[in-house]
Amino acid sequence: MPGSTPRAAALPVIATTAALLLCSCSAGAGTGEARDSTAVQSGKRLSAVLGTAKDSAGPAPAVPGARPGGTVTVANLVDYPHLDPQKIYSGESYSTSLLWGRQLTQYQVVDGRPTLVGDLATDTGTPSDGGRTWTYHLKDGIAWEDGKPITAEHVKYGIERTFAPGFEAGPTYWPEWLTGSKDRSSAVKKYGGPKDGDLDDIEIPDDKTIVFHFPRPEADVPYMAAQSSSSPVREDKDSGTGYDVKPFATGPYRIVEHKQNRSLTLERNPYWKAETDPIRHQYPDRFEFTFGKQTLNTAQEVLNGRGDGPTTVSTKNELPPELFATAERDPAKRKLIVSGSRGAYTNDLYIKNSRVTDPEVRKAIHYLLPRAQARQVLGGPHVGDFATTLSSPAVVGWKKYDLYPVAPTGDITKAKEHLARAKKKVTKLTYAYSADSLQQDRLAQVLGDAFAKAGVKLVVKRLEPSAFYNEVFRGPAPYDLWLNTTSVDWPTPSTLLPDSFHSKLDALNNSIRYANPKVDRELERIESIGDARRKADALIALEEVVMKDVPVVPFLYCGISEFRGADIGGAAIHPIYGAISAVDLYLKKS
Amino acid sequence: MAAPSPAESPELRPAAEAPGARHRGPLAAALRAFRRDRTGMVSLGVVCLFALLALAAPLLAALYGKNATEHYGQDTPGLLSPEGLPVLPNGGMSGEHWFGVEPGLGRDVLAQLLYGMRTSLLIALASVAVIAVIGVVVGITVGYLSGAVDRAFTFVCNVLLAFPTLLLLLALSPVIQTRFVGPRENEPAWMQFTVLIMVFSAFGWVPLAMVLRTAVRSLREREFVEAARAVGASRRHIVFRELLPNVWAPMLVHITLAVPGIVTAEAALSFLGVGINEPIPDWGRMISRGSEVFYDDPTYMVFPGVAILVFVLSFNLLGDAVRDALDPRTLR
Repeated sequence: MPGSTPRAAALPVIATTAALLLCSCSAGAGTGEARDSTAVQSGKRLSAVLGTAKDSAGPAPAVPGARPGGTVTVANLVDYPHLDPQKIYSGESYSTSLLWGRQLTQYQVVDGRPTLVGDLATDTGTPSDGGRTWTYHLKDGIAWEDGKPITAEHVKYGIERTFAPGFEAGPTYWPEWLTGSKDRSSAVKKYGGPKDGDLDDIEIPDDKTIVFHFPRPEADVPYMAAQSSSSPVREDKDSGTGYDVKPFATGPYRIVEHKQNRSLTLERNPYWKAETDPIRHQYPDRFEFTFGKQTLNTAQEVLNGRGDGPTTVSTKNELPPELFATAERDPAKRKLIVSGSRGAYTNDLYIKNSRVTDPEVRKAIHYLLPRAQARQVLGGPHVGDFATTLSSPAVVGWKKYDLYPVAPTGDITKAKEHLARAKKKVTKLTYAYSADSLQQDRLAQVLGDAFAKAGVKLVVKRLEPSAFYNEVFRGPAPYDLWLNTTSVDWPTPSTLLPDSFHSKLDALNNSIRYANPKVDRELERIESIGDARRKADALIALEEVVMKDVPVVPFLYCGISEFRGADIGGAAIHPIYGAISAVDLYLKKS
Repeated sequence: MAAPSPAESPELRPAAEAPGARHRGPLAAALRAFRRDRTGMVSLGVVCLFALLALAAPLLAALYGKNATEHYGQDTPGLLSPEGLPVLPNGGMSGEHWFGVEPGLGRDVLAQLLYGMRTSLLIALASVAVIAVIGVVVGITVGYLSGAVDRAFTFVCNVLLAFPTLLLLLALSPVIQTRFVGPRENEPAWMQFTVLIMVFSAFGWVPLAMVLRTAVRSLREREFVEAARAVGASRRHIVFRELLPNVWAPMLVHITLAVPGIVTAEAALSFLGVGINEPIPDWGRMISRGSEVFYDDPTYMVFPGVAILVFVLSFNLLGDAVRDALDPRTLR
């Protein structure tokens, strides 16, 4: 190839130069200091207080500047796995299903502060008999989408459904509490759902009154009454599996059409009366949900205002990490980022206590955890605030404590001191993680780096996402450490310590195999407290006792960042459900 | 000059001795032709430079004062923002970190690049060595024997060519992890390398063997082979002393072109997460990271991208030049 020789030889040089020139416009991230950040404020106290009967009367306080009309497009990557109210069991589904579903109680959010108020009920419930009996009265003027009134019978039928086969996906508290059983499987032996006839523990003296009778005192009934499981269902409309696709509406919107994995269309429900509802608004004419579009594409359309972008919002998609920095740099885009606390979610470094038995070693791990570096590889302040407590600040009765203060970058010297005090020298620990993103690989490198500095070799085990939970959440799992994101089921501490720190629980619940006889006894005593406030206080006090042993290392109070179009108003992260609250949305112009 | 006549071929000495030979053999002619090809010479220079850089990586890193595994960006304030992006423009390029720092973990890009080259070259050269040995032995033997052996060979080749290599590796990786690595251990580096080299060579020898088989089949009927057979030479002698010296040209071309193929394949596997794992530096993984942060830090993608581009391009051009030099038709 004599003729082409010089040009061919120059090719790599040209390519290199061109590539460097093209990219020489890449700006730096700046100093990262003193900028108005979209980062979350997840450390804020957001616990829900119990509202009065007056708070429970409608209508909901207006969203400032809101106006009715228009169609809001909600672009989510995936469709809802369940729409059947008794099967829904995730924060975002709870939040969005408020558009068409109503419960006995619900969280009223004003200026980001939640108050638990009566929704279908006139208040949050009246306990008697030391918390064994709870009475609810239904409001007047509440109706189904066909205009028929909602009665106590419908609420009872809805709760009876949670016992039936096929409803294992939902929360198991109603079956467990009403029958006084340890778990759902023993509860359904006593009563197997509507096919077994009436459940005597729910008494309906008249159309407007529901009385729950529990074998044991239950303090958290008002919170459980806010779960989607406590929605009414009409027997004549219960189409079984079909109800999971298109439930019958009680809220401000009704479902016109639901093409699974493609679209969901909502229009106004004419029989919903604002004056009965202290939580929901009915601003837009319609909601059009679309499913399947890649998150990055949706986010770019929304942030750049292309196509339907300005009137689009996502209630489930999070801001892709690729766009964190872009959104931080551009003030116009920063405005469109909606950040907040991911409900009561926390992220902690779990330590298998049955393997790492020495508290000194666990304290060393507490000091070793490089919180700042780890959060940096996960995406920075967007992912949450550093935690010092086991429970989230969103939990009722939460108190800040910091038993072993440590700098965010970790304290190698302190860690070495504790390691030296250990009864047996520790040179190797294993850290397991789920291979669901490349971030997790980098996080493992960060942890390994920190542990190596204290002379501990951290063996990092990358497990397939499908295998991770089976592998880690079993008794004899050979892993010492893993990061776990978890939340209480409602914002009281009742489902935190009792559901995962009692030594008698199985490895699925008490995955760290924490066993402390004193804590067990105290948990059993607290179980019989019928008053919500006293129970919460006792559990919070116990939490500090537990955390003295460092069974887990608190890492983050999780945050969430979502996005909304420029014309969408009222978008804010629901403080309890940790997603953009759909019932407050409106269109600025349409 | 004219192409070597078949009659000259029997006198041809094995490849290693040829440069010393003073007579106007085809190799001397090829060498002369190669020296005249400027593209070939430049790409040879680039390839040698890459090899030198890879060999001297620890020395260069020591002189440069950075290593490939330390998280500089995380340990030194002011290099990375809280989101993990380089604070300085152009991926954090500075007098301290010439090619910038890696977003997130904050490792030095230049040191990563140098050590990543070792990973790529080690895998490619080791695989090519195995491929050459298997390909030559099998190709020549089958070409000479023909008959039932040839039919069996063709069948095996077809099976291997039909094998979904990428899927095999994707499926194999977690199996190796759980089957051969204890839960308290990491997969050792030698195992990751061995698996890749084994897979690349298990499938890579097939095209070489097929090329050589065809070449040998045409050589087999030539006079010099028949002459050797007539004087009672053993099969061994004919295969290794008569045929082998005549097929080194296609072999050389094939392996020169196989190296860049394996480098890109290895990078692709690491990009998909089944190649070489953290913390061993690897170009494919660097590119995968670059694609994650492309919006915010496009510079990071440039270095491994350009490195692979230049490396593969120069190897391909070198392969072309070698083929041109050895192909009698281009000899003038």
